[in-house]
Parts: sequence; C-alpha cells; structure tokens
Amino acid sequence: MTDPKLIRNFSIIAHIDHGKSTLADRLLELTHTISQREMQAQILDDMDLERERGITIKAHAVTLKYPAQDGQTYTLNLIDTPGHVDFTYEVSRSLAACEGAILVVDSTQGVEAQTLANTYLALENELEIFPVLNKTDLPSSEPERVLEEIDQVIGLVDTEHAVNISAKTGQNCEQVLENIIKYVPAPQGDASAPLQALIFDSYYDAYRGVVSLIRVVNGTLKTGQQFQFMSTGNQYRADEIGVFSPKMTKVDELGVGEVGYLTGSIKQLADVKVGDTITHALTHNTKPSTVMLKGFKELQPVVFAGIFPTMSDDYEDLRDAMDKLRLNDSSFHYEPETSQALGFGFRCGFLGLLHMEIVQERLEREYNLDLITTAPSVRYHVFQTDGTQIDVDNPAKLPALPKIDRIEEPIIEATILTRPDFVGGLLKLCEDRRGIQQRLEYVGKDRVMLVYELPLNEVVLDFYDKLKSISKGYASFDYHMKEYRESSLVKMDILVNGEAVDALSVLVHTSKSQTLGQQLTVKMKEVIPQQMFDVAIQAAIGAKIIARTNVKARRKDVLAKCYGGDISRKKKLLNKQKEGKKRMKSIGSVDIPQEAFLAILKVGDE
Amino acid sequence: MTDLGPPSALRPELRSAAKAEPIGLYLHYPFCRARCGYCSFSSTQDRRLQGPVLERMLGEITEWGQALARPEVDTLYLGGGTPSLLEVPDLERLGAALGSSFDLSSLMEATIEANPGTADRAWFQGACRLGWDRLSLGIQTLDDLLLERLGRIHSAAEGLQAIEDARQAGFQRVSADLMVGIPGQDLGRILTDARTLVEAGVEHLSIYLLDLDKDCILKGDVDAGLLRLPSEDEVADVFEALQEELPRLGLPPYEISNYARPGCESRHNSRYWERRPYLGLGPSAASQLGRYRWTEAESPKAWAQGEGLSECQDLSPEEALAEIPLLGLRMHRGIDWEALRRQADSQGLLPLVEGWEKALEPCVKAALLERQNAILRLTPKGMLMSNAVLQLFV
Repeated sequence: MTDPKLIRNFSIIAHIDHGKSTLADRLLELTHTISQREMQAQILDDMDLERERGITIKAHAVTLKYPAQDGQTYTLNLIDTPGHVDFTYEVSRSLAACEGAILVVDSTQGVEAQTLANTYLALENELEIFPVLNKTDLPSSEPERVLEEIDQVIGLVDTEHAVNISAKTGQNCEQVLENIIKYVPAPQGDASAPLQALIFDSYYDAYRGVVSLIRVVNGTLKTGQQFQFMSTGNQYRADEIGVFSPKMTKVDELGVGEVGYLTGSIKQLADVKVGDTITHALTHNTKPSTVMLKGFKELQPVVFAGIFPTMSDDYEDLRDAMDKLRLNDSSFHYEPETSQALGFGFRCGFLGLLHMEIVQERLEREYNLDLITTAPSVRYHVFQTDGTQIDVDNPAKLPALPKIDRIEEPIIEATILTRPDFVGGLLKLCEDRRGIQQRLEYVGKDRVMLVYELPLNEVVLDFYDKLKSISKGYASFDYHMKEYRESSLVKMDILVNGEAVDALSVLVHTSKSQTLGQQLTVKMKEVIPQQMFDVAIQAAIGAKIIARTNVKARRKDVLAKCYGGDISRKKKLLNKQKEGKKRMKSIGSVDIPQEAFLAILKVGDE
Repeated sequence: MTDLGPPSALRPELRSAAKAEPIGLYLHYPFCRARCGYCSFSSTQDRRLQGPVLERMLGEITEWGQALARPEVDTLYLGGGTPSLLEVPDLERLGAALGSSFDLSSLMEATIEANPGTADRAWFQGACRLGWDRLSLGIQTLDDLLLERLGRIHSAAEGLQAIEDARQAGFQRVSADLMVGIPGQDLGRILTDARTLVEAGVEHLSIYLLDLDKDCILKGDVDAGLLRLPSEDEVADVFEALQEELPRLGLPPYEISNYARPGCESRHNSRYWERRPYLGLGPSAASQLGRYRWTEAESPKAWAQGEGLSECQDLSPEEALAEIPLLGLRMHRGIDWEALRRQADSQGLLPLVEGWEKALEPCVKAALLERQNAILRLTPKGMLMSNAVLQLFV
C-alpha cells in the first residue's frame, strides 16, 4: 500500500488534436512506465475507432512511478477521460477520482468549447488545475495570448503555474511531472474508515468478466474480500485486484487514494454502474459504509433511433451483435421494435449523436451487418387529455392528435466558441433551429463565445455538421441538458404511394412544418431511385397533405445489345443490378435506400 | 491436341444432347481492322494471329464433329469480330471442314456478319456461292459524323452500297444493325435511317442501345465529360417511336431488339431465346448442350495457343427452369406459362414458379407484363423495362 502523501491522481483535459494523447505518451516514457520500444503512438487509445477518429471513447487509467527532484518516488495515476459531450457523465466521474487536472491547450489555437465544459466539470469536482500550453515549438505558437484567453474565458484557473511544452519533441515535459507533484494535492482519506471506492469506468474482459476501474476514497480493499455495489446491494468476491502499469498487474490490496482495477466474476457490464460506490459486504471482518459517494446517477439515453436489418433474415444476427455490443457499452440501450415499413428491428437509445454513430459503425464494421437507421429523435413528454403523461421517443408512437393535451421537449444550453467572421452564419443557424440567445461575448482577441438555448430535437438533426461547415471547422460546440419545455410540435408523416411509412415520421415545430415538408419531399425525390412506376412522395400532418413530389417511373432498363449466346454474361449483368436493389428496403413495392430514411438530416443542403 | 471444352467425362452426355435435336453452330472470328469505340467484345487487330486462329478453328470443327458423332446442324452463324476479313479461300476451307464434320442436310440458315468497310461485291458473291444465305451488316447509323465518332471504318454511303452489292451478289436475306443512344445522335434521324434501310431492301433490323457497360474507348470519353450520352427518356422516346414505326414498314418486332418481315426472323438467334442447343467455337464463344454451358477463352491469342475454357457451368434444374422465362420473355410472342408450370411440376419445382408468380404481380400491375390465357409476355413498355422483370429469374 502506498502512503497517500506520495500519490497524485490527475487527469488531462484537452480539445481534440490539442495533444492530450501525445503528452500522455511522453509522461509514460519519462517515467519508464513503457519503453521506447513498446511505444505505439497514442498508447491509451486502444480501440480502432478511437485511433481513427483521434478521440477517446472509453476512460483509461495508468499508474506511473516518478522519482521526483525532491528525492522521493511518487505514484502518479493518470486517469484518461473521454473528451466528447456525449460522455459528460463519465468524464465527471473520472474527474471525481482525481485531485488535479492538467489543462492542455494548443498554443497555436486557443480554448475550445469542449475544453471549457470539461474544465468546468473539473472545477465542480474541486480539482486543482494548471495549464499546459502545447506545441510551443511551432512558429505560430502564441502562449501569452492563449494564457490570457484562459484567464478571460475560464477565470478560476491558476495560470501562474502554466508550463510551455512541446509534447511532440518532449521539450519541458519533465516540468509537467514536477508541477503535478507540487500543485496537485495528495489524496485525503481515512484508512480505518469503512471502505468507499468510486467506480469511474468498467469494461468487459472475456476471461475476467467485468473489470471495474476504481479509486479508493476511504478504507482498504483486499483480494478475496466480499464487496458490494451500493446502488444495487449486489455482492461479489474480489477475485483480482491490480493496477495498470500499464499492463494489468495484480496487487494484494488497494488503499486510500490508490487507483486500480477490481474483478469479481461479474457477467454483465450493466451490473457495474459508473459513479457507483463499492464498499465491503457485512462479514465477520468487514463492515460496509452507509454513505454513497456523491454524484452517482443512472445514465439515461437522450438520442433515439430505430436500427433495422436491411434484410429481414439478419434480425437474429443483429440481436446477437447488439447483445455483444452492450457487454462493452452499458450506456447503449435497445429494445425490439416492429415497424410496418421496416419489419423487425430495435429502438435504440444513445448518450448522444457521436455515441449513435459509433454504435452504428461498430455494428456494421465488427459484425458485418447491412443496416437501416432511422432519423434520430429525442424523448418527449406527452401529456394526454386524460391527465396521464407518457414518454415518447419514437415519433411513430405519438398518440393520436385529439388525445394530446400538450408536448414538452428537451432543451439544452449550448456553448459555441468561434472566430468573429463566422458569428453571422452561426447566429442564423441557431435562430433557424429555434435557438434563444443567452450570451454573445468577445473573449480575448479573435474569439467569440455564443451561448444558446436550443431544442435538442433541432440539434440531433444535423446541427453539428452544419455548424462545422458554416464555421469551416473553426467552431467548437458543447452542451448540457437544461429542462423540458412546452412546445408546439406536430407529427409529420411521409407517405410513399399513398401509404404512410412509419419509420419516416418526424416531430417538427408547427412554424417549420410547411417548409420542412417541402424540403423533405424534394430531398426524398433525389435519393429514391426511379422505379418501374411513378412514386408519389407526400408529407402530411394528420390528414392534410402539405407537400408532394413525384419520382417519375423509369422508362428504360433493358439489355438490348448483341450478346450472341453468351447467356452467362447477361445473367451477370442482371445479377449486379439485383444486388444493388438488395441494399434497399422494399416498402410496398417501392425500393427505398438507406439515405431516404436520413433525408431529414440533409434538407436544406445545397 | 488442344483441350476440347468440358471434361471428356461429359462427352457421352453432350453427344446424346446433340443427337436429341439439331444444334446451332456459332463460329467467332475475332479480327477487326479497327476497334470500334463502343466495343467490349473479344477482338484483335493483330493479323499475325489470323493463321493460328483459323487453324485452331478448323481443328476444333473436326474434333467437335467427331466428339459429337457428326451431329445435325440446322443453323450456322459466323460472327465476330469481322468475318468479312476472311478471304474467300479461307471461307472455302471452313465450309469444307463444316461439311465433313457436321451433318448439314437440314441446314435452314447460314448467317455471316460483314462490315460494309471490308466487303466488296466479289466477296459477297464468294460467300453466297459457298452457301451463306443470310447477311448481317453492321450499319449502326447513316450519319457519317456518328460513324466516325463510333470509330466505324465505313461511311453511310458505303453502308447502303454494301446492301446493294449483297443483293446483287445473291443474298436473299439481309439484316442491318442500328444503334440508338450514340452521343450527339439526332434521335429523330434514326427513324429516317430505319426507313432508308427498309427501302434499300433489308428485311431484318436489330436495334441495339449503346450500352457502355464495360471499358471501351467511348466510355472513357463519356466519363471524361467530352461526350454526353442521351438521357434515358430521350432513348426511350426513340425506342418507342421505332416500336410504332417499324411494324408500319412491315417489320414487326419478334424480340426486344429485333424486327423482321414475318418469316425472316433469325432462326439461329431465336434458338438462344428458346434455349435450344448450340455449339460455339472461337475465342469467347459460348455453347450450351444439355445441362452444360461453357465459354471459351476470351483472348484471341490465348485461344489460338490452345487455351481451354474460361468458364463451364453445370446448370441445376432450378437454373435451367428459370432461364425459360429469363430468355423466352425477350421474345415478342412470350412464353407458355402453363407449359412452364407443368414442366416445373414434373420436376418438383412448382413452388419456384409460384414464387415467381407472386414476384411478377407488381410488374403486371405496372403494365410491364400481360397475360393472355396461357401466354405471358412483355408489353411494349415492358420490353424497354425488361430488366426489372427478368431480374426475378437470376
């Protein structure tokens, strides 16, 4: 067990590409936690998707031994956090396991919305923060300006102890370690108190079952002891306890301030909840704590979509794939759904849009499935005329109009940081999306911060891509849930050849229904290929048709070429055509491609 | 000795198939003076290969005649490539080999293809004298600019002259190919071209749609944006206009792409659509005998050097059954669906047919198909949209 005075638990906060992973790599090298030979760039991001996208999806922890200039060897626990707004809760729990954080900012760029949001999370968790200005080896580096910006935008952060580094060349990275020793407080805790350990992450391991990543706050956890999760009371035996150095290394016990892992033959990831408290079971030798650590909550999905196999035969495969995926991602929710149009599939809940994209991509990539995903939706509170209230996350399931008293929709508070030249375009975007401006501030030179209240249903429909294109990538965006608010929403149905296609229904604001109906039917016309008959596409609210387009019948689809007796060649050509059709969903007798189900995301694109 | 098509173990089966009814014989002569811009067929300009190809072809004729025990051949077709590049003495050697290896006593039709740019009256006379009685001329269009764009080596006037020469030489039956959808083509002109050709005496027209499905020179130009293909609608308009006009000129359609004076339909080509047996010799030539279908090596050089098959298939009863409508529906007269049902029933494949019937319903509803008593056939509109229907059978 390490003396808590010689432990420092810290996290790194940074925007994508500002150098978090590279700095982590340097710290691992400097402390000889990993040899140069073993070094693989960005060692912490080990999922393929994470490396490709340059983001962290799961949290990680690694223990470093650092012989400091004061002659003592310290145990440093680097707790890496996911960086995306979808995973705010996980980030906050990871930060709760630390006493300090390094705020890494690219000195050629500046503070971004995501950094801001995570810094606030760190401040809420009472962490000591010191800035590290990265990429100071580049000619365009302006550490003084960026430091000033940190002061102005965030305040509250101690900029006096800032370190200028280049994580790429390793320049001044040792100083970062020294600062951690100096400015990050040692953990405080009572070794003799009942055990309290925070779960800040978990993952599924094929051999060990669920592995929980924990930080001991009070007491001591020993191998072989009985422990329990305080949110459920479920009890297990501590089969294996260890630390990541960075490989999993067994230890006998974890004491106050220590960070490591714990296994207990737990079968389902869903049984281990991030933010939960672990304590001892009541036994002859151990007494449980009666108090849970602060900040635990059950995670609720905020974005919903239907996922259907393109070919109905793949339904069972899709179910298996989802079961397996959930082993590794307990925040992914799904339940069977039947759509008249798409047949058997699943209604899925996600933490956000990125999470949705990741799940979809993993299902297609890792399980080789051809999928149809419906447009994302949010969860509405629907108050019915009979006085009851229901939650609706699938527009197709909205009660009939006369039964609805009122609908409330989720509202978020969004923060956008950008350059002055893009403010006009972004203001228009926010206004178009029914946003209400809260703040517009010039922070530092060349930086503007916008704060808007936005309905989440406007954000899930392609807001982020629009934001990126309007700002040419120079805008960062972050949000948190604010409240539910009453809104004038109606269900818009899409009819294909007179038949309403349930999977295409969307909830839209009354003021936008007419325009959206027109844009959507035009977009659908573009993406639905010509068929052997005319296809009418209509947008309707209730019984009223508000927009209509027509995909004219195809007139020529024939092999009229001299092939002599080469029948196989003819058949190959026909087969190729047929394969193309298979990737579409046949509704009625109209073949509809995946793009059509997401056409709502693309309306208004030129 | 070269490899003779399918494994020799199949020989007895093939032989009995060739004995059951007269077969068709197709010979592929892969040489061209120049490669046309739209062409993706097996052809070469390397004239040094002419000798070896002809030698192997003569050898194959002899060997296949023996292998199949001198079967009866009732239709002959010499295509290419450009068979009119064969000198008359070469045609004579081919004819002699055919006569000694196959039983030609019931021969009904012997078609030879010619390019108006490589055949003169003497050649037509020679071919006619040797027994070739049907001529297929690659006219394509009567617009000189387009002929050049296509990379054809003849002018419109030469095309018409060839028809005249062939008639003078004694060819009773002359067919011409016309192409629809050439970049820059004045589509109204095609009707005029068709009339001109009918007036010039052709009694059979093949209307092909320019289809750049494989790599060819023209596709490169189109992909590069140098040329624009006419729209589907424009092409459909012309095709429909021809569907109306050609019967008025006395040439009703008998297949999706083919129009003829009654009685002048190509018997050889009809056998492909009727799934009757044929043997094809030459690079890329396809054969179908009994349950087997095979294609010879595509490259003329490889074929001349004795390379065997590029593909050989043993058709399952299901595949063979599916090909009856797949091919038969291309014919204007359609297919006898009740007969198909009976055949399927006798093979225990009725569920397959019932599945098709269900899948065909939308096509009937969309008026691409029509049913008259036992007969199922494509409507004129269905001819142009036939892939949507025929896809169900692959």
